[in-house]
Amino acid sequence: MMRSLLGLLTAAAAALCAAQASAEQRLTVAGYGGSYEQIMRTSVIPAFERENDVRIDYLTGNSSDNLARMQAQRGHQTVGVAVLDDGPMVQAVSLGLCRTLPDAVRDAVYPIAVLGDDHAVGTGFGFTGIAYNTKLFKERGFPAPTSWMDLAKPEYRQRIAIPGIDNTYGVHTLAMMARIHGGSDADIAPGLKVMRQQINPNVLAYESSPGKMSEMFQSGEIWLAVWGSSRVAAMQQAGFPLAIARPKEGAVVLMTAGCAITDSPEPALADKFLAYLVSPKVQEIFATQYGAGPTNRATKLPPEVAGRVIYGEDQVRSLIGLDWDVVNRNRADWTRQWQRQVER
Amino acid sequence: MMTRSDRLTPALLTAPSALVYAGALLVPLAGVLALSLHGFDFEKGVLPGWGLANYQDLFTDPLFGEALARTFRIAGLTTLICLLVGVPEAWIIHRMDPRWRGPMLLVVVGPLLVSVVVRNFGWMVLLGTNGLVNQALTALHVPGAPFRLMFTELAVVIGLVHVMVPLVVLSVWASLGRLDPVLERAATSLGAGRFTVFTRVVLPNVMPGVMAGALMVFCLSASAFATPAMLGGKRLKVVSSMTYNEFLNTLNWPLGAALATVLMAAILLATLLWTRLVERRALRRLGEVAQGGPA
Amino acid sequence: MSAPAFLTLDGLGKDYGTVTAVRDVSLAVAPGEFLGLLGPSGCGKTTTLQMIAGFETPSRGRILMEGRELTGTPPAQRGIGLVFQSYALFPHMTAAENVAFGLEMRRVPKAERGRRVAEALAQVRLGHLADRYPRNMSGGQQQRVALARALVVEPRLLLLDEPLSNLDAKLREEMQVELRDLQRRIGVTTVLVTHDQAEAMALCDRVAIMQGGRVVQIDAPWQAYDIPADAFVADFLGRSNRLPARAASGEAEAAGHRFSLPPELADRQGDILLTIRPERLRIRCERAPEGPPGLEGRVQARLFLGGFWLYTVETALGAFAVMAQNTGATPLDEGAAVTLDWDAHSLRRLEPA
Repeated sequence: MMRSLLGLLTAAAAALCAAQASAEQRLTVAGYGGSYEQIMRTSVIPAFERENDVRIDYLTGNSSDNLARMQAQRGHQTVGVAVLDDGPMVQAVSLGLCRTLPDAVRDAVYPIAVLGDDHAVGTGFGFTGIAYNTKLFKERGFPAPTSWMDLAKPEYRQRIAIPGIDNTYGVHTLAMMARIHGGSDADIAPGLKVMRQQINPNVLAYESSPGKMSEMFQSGEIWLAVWGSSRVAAMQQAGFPLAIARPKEGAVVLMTAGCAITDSPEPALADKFLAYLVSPKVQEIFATQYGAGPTNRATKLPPEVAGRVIYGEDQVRSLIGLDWDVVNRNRADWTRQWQRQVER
Repeated sequence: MMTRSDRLTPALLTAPSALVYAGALLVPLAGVLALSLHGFDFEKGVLPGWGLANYQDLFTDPLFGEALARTFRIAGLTTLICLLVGVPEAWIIHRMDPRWRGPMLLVVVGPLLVSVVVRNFGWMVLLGTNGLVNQALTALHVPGAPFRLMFTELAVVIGLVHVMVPLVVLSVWASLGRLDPVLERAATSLGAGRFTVFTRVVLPNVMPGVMAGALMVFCLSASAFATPAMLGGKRLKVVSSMTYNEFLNTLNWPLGAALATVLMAAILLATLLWTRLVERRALRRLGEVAQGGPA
Repeated sequence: MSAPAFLTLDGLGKDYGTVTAVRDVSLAVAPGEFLGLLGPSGCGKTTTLQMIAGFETPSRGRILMEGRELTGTPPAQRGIGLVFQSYALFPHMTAAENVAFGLEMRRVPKAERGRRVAEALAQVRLGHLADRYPRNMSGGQQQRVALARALVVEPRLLLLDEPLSNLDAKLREEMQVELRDLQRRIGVTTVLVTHDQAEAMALCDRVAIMQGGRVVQIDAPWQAYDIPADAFVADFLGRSNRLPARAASGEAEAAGHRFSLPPELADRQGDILLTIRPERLRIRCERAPEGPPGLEGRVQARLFLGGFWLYTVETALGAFAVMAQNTGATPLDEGAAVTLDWDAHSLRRLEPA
């Protein structure tokens, strides 16, 4: 009763607001929550709204949630621009959810940042590496991790967390394990075997949620984890003694990627916002506040920021990228195998 | 003699709620059922064909069998503990001075007022290897401490019991309110001690409340998602977390729908068995089911 | 009562905060006696019963059973049988199971238990309903099960809390006879709490009439009825007419009407409150040829009670209730002029309440 009344009120209020705002253009942007949302709302969106006299609605959700949402809304899309991890983004493209990029956007970024056959664009470089608690490592005299196989060291028993296979970090972990043991994105079996036999005994939990991951770091429950550079940067900014190692076998690139959604209202505005996301100005904001390396080649960063992020041709080239078309095609099978062999 | 309109009136009066019921429950359920009969392809999404392939997959998959068993094990254990805690708790509060009853009920209902995420984070902090519980056990020199409590079925059961106990307390409380308070005095005057009064007189008469509470707890525990996911972790799969995974991560909606359907059918079956075997018998003695006793 | 008391209440009182429910109750119950605690609601009779049963702790005073202090003994160990107004049968047990409960609590072996339950049910004439659940029994049947349940454990004392007030009038009368008979046969000392004066008078050897937390009068019912201690008792037990008058030299005078006083009041002088029961008044429609002139009045209302006619007669001394036996003669009409008279020894003096 209460709920239905509330619903009615909300609907009425929404209708009222909609009537008021009908004069100006509106665009819905779907993206991550947490610090990313914070930066978007305070430093990125307001300027765009002012310059173009439009309103942006920000819809919070992780990559798979937002992908599922757009899949569900197919045919009557409300989302204009979506920001997802690169893997889910390639999947979104293959599901036909993304429109082709404007030429100007495509040409502004490094080739590695053009995804899904010109349908999506990387908006920031991050990487997946091994995050570790520097204070604890120093106290216990452990050397900083240098290899993916450090995860198998017996002294870390039950002190490691790895994101699940539903998470891009988890996919990266499995792919790297396969690659360094003679497999590939198309031949994942060696990776599964290593995970099962050598890594799994050390894993306290397979945990995809960044909130729980940081809680486990803070309570000292875990000492190290496979995690992303942007997450580590956020923890560092909060003052937590966390560092991320780029293993010698290579850190895996993890881009935040954007695309304009097919059949959504205001397509021109969506393209404009996408271009704005890869403009040097916004790229610098995300580099400074989010630790995301700029994908726009023209971005100039001050040295103290440049030192902390993936920056410049050379660094970009050193990153390992996954063949997302192959990975996505096999992902259901990976998930099945992972759930049955590894995550036990 | 009923006129035609007399007979129509009840139907007309219930029509709005029946429509809401149908619209909000039956139609989506039918949708889920229909969805579960489709196939899925990663590139093409949901396939148009029909078939029972998803169910065949599930029933030949040991991982699913394991998750189903775990789901019911957790729900059963949670229900049992909730009853052991909640029923005496309701009686104790019922016997309290009326001045204290209000505040006590509020304390009991407390867990229901806290969001599931906050509540589970609280338990994570308490149950961690460096958490309060283990700190206390270590301080008391309990052999083997600290224990691994997080990411175990025990943690899930603890988290569920915490939030489910109020349901038992409230439903038993309602039954206690209908109990003639003189019955307890009658039993006492016949020589029964407090414990005997409770087990022989109070308990049988509040059985409807106990049964209803147990049923609610069982159904909610079997379909709980957030608590098993947060306190159990990914390794301890239950049917609801597998469903979530298929819907939101693999995007294999038809398989997710099949999982949801099987879970619902299993809970429904357990409920029916429960009502048939236990509740009927308990209620018949109290005369609340259609005339079973001598007229 | 000359026999040594079985149950003694000695200066018993109970306060709830600042409210006093029972002020000061002292009485003695003889072995085998049937005592009634009678009074209007709020007089403290139920609280007194609860204290005897052990469900309330007295604020002051003592309860002695066979000379032994009872205060502090938990209710379960007092050996008292209780019958409640609501019967309080266990709804989930059959009649036989209800009756067997007390025996089970006393760990009576199963075979003996069965025999005693059957006996107890037979005693209340319910042997044929042993397997029936309370919800399928009439109020009277339930009350008899409650009685059997209380008696089967052979209690030293039986407490009845308004046991018949949920029954309809006819059934209540039948049950009164049965209850009285049963109590006599078993000989168990019994305390009955009731607000129904007719019930108390019908059942009890003696009644203790309570008012405001005190016992006002303890007597055999007919004694209390005939010689009420004060105006409250006179009004509470049956009907009575009041007759304020002035006494002088063996006679009384009220509103110009003079009549003689009984010998025990002959030396009274000045204002006096007299009372007379309606059945002690005689009513005539013609003047008596001889004797005292009588009090003249007019029939204001009449009620037919079967065996009796109840007239309300308006006189110079106020309205009088008059009970006239139904002799088969034509009753007096409303408005008829009548004369009332009475024997002087029917008059009682009342202390103003």
